Amino acid sequence: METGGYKGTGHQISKAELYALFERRLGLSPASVLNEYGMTELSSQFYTRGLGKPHMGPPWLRALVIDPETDEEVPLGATGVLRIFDLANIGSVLALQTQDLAIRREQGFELIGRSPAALPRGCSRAADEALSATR
Amino acid sequence: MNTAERAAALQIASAPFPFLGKVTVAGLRELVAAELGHSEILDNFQLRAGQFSKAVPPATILHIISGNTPAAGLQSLTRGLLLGSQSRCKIPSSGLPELEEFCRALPPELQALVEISPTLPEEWLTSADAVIVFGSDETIAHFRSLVHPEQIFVAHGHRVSFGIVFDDPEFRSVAGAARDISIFDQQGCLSPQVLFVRNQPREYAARLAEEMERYQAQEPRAKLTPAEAAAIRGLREEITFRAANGEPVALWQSLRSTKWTVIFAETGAAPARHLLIA
Repeated sequence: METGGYKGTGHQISKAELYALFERRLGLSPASVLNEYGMTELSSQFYTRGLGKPHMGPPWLRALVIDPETDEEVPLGATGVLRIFDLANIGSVLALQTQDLAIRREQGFELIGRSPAALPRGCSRAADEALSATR
Repeated sequence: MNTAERAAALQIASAPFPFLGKVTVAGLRELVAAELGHSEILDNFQLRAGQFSKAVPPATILHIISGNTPAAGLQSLTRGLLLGSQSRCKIPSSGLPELEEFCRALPPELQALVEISPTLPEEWLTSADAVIVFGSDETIAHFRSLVHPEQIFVAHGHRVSFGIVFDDPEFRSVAGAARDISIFDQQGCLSPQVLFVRNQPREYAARLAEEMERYQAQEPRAKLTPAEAAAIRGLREEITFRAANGEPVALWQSLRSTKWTVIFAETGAAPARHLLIA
């Protein structure tokens, strides 16, 4: 299982390249690699398997793909930003507006990644910055 | 064609584009004189600073033109043609109809000097005597790394412009400010990103918001990418959060769209107060 998330700094390669490397170096076909999509602010996670397939979550976790221009849900097949509702977030806010881009699918969403215009935020960012400062 | 004849043709071709300002034969000749010392120095030897001299323009100029400011591209081409240089224009892949319309209005002698392409042939870059680039910092860095030291390189990159309102008790400048901000979708070199307002800044911001709404109803902004729209939403959320925490900021925004946003923020250090507009 890989969790992606290069957080906008350091080395970046596409998911297809990463999976090609898994296949070459580790002998794992894309269909045997799972991706987890989640974040500190969530109690639950979305998962997908292989390349080009939508992410799905458990029944208490839902996501809407929102058109940031209108703040409404996009039609099927269109791109927007993810708004996530996690009922397991008992001790904190249950709805989260992310700046992660995704395509709305019949079931779930296909993750594109962090909106390039957004400021990088995330846990690996601080470590990356510390590393680049010492280089 | 001599300089005056080229200037006359450029005046005619510029006429349908009011955003270029007033392009006149006299103005173009003055431009040559101001830059090179004599308005006919491109045509013949002229007495200048006690010596006879003649100006030789770059044989070929490559203009790399960005899509959001056709005015900049047309001005660059106008100047290249005024010099009489072969002018090769790399336009955005989405095309630039203004440039093509401009060229159709030129006489055949000047049309022959213009080449337009949405792709950049390798030979255009290597053979140009001068390379003029309009674009982002990344675009400019890219082309800077490709030109040779003997090629003239002129870059027009990102600009940040701001306005200052010293004293306007009746808010007469508000409609003009909204127009300056909104024209070219706030992507022109002189598009103000910030206004510093000395008196009644919060009231000024509220009135500016009304004018922004009015302007957008007449001249709607182009569609943004989801990432750009998301960045505006993110900024609006940040300001809403800061306002809810009692900070001296305020937000006005278009409903169900990201068409316009006015942010008021007090600047602690400076005597003026400022508004930020996205």
